[in-house]
Amino acid sequence: MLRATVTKKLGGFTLDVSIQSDVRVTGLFGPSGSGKTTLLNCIAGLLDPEKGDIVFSDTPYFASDPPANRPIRERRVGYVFQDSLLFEHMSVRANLLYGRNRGGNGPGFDDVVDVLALGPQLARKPRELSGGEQRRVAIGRALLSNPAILLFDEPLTGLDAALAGRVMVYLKRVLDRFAIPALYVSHSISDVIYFCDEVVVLRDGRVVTQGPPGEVITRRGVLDDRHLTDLRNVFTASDANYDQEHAAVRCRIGPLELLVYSATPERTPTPTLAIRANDIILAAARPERISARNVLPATVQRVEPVGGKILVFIDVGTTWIVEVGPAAVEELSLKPGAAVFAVIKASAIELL
Amino acid sequence: MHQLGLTVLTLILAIAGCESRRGATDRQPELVVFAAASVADALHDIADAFEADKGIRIEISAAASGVLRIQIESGAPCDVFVSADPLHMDRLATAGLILLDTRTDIASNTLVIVTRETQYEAWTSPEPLAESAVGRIAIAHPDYAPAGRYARSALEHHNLWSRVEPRIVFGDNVRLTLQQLLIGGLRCGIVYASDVATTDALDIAYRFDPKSHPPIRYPAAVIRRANVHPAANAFCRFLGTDAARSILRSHGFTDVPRSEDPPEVVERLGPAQSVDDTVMPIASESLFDESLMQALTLSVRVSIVALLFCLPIGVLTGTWLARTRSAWRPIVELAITCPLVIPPVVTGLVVLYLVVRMRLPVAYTWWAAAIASAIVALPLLVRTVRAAVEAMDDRLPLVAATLGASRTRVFLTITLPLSWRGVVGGAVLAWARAAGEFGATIVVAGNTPGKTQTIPLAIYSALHSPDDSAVWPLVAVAVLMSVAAVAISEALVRSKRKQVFRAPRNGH
Repeated sequence: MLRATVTKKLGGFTLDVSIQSDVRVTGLFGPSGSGKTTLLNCIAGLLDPEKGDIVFSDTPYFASDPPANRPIRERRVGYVFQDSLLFEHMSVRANLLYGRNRGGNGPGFDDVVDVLALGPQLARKPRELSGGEQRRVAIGRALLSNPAILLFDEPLTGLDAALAGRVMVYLKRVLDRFAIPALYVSHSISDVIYFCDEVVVLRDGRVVTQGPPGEVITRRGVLDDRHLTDLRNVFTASDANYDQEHAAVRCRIGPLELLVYSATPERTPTPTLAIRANDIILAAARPERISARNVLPATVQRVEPVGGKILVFIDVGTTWIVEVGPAAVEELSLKPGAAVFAVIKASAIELL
Repeated sequence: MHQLGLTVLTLILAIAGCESRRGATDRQPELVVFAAASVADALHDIADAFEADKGIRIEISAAASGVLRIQIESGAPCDVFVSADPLHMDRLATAGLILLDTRTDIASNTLVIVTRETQYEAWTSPEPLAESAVGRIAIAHPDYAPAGRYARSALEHHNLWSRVEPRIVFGDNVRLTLQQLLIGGLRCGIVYASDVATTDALDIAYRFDPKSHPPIRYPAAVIRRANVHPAANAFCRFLGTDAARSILRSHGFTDVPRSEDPPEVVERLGPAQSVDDTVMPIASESLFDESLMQALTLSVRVSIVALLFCLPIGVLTGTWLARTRSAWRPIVELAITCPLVIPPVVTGLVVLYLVVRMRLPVAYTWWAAAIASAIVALPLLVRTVRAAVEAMDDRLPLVAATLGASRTRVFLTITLPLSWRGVVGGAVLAWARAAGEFGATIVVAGNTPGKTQTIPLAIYSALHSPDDSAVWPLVAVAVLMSVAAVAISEALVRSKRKQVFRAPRNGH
């Protein structure tokens, strides 16, 4: 679907990559300065490569031989910038409708406003919105320009954790609801795992590896210890009910029940939850009389050493990643197929 | 850097040394002569002769008679004043600023019609002026410049004034009239014979009879000061000697008729008018109000049309300069900025040259004033717009492009609305600059009341006129306009800053 071979010099930095992707959501993952945004800009047409060939679903965007360069406005890219870049002098409605006259059968206005819950904000000016609302407007504006491909440049960066979590939920809804191919640039491995079907890992302007996120993250040279501390399992639960008495939300993943503390009643029956990989405890037998409220039976899928740690992939109806030390792997004899119990404190689960 | 400082210091010391050496050798201070511009050349020659004879150095300061008269009234260090017009000398006499017994008329002059066209035979009468074939006629301003006053009297005498007036282009002074003839594309004008003596390019077609206009006199007198220069009287007397007269004659001046008190008959048309009315036409209160309103209306018209020229060019160029990476950028930038630093008179000359070359029928009309003002004001608009566009996030136009907007749509819906404060602020500044434009305007458009005389030109002319009471109301209007413009411009810039620093709302 997307083929991009790009050579682009920027100052002392050279981007020299060749990627190809047929999945719906492709992640571009790597540290700052690895060339993720540069590649995105070349695809959008904001930068012209020195050499290269960019084709998206049979539409040539750029070629150096013979020279061809489709103008930005004809590439049909829905670009969501890191800092929203809303048109300050226009209302939210005018911002959303700015790309509307491109025509075609893109997402409908009411649909987009509904998915992003922007109804109450339509008449307001961007500067009257919170950071999270501004991101949602930026996403809606890109969607409504009837894009062939969505380009996200770190759309969650610069927001505080709570706001980023909210925007994450909206973004996932958008990707699921409108099924538009997307490139998602991020330096957060949790985001990439949550959103992307496939991920391209970049470093110093070159492609390190490419593949499904779950496989890629255990490959050598992809993650370091800092990534591991940030590693979160983000997933969607169902059948949520607010338990007033315990100030907690009761919900399910598959047949398993989960208890999550929450000061405010959960509004949606399908909340999005996040658990850090190092907040999950694995037990070989079901622990009894324990303060942690959640004990879930699980099956070990894979055991992978990454850096000085071990990542254990377990199946609890969805796949979770658990970070443990090498001694624990040995003592619990963790290996694929082993039955374990995942123990999580109710307060360690985050409601996004 | 250190070396440069040393060089500069050495230079300063050297100059100071020269200055003090000069002061030491001169036993007597220089005699300072204020001379009307039209006689300055002749006076330089006379001064040389006087210095050779008496060993006294003379310093000549040349300007329009009215300007010199005002300077003398304000106490300028002047020993001898040579005026091109008896009226200014009269005013100084009334104020007791001259030694009356030293006053003498040192020369006279002949009023002539000149043409650039050699095919004209010498005329037997000024009648051909009435033919439209001679085109527009350059004369100095009758209300302010003596040459213009004489020219009007002479034309009225020959019953031509009303017939030629629509085709007349007023220059601020007779020298400017001469320039309009020499380089400004006009072919016919009325000047002094002494002016033509300096150039081969113009032919005298007709000499007016001295009886057709008030007598042309160049009075000289010693200025009354605490310490009258010992040589002042001697110089005044020297101006009446044969040696001085022959120099004046060689510069095209004529001798003052010998008869002691000739009752020069000024024939006038129509009912008798007091002489005062002709020589001081702007003394009347109602006329002054009318001329102020005329100047104000014209200033507003010229500056607004200039702004209308500026706006599209300025906004597009400012935006382009802020965004482009083109190799042409420095060149365009230089061309646009030039009028900001080039003397406006030079800009005026260039515009006049181009306008005449391209045969645009706008020279000496208020259109020319508007074009000149636009060129001079343009850099202010361009720079302000450019700064405003540069202050805008340069990714916003790219966002709009990803949303499918064309360049035009991006410009109209993003760039312009987001930089409108800069555009309006720059426009106000440019308008004020255009309204205050003087140097270029007087060159390309002349100084014709009701046609091209804007407020700055009216102020300048009023300064030259024997009656300068009209100056202050004009000055007040000019100051008010400028202050208002700067205040508006500043207010816009300030409100922009406030908006930038407003904190975003919290929550989600």
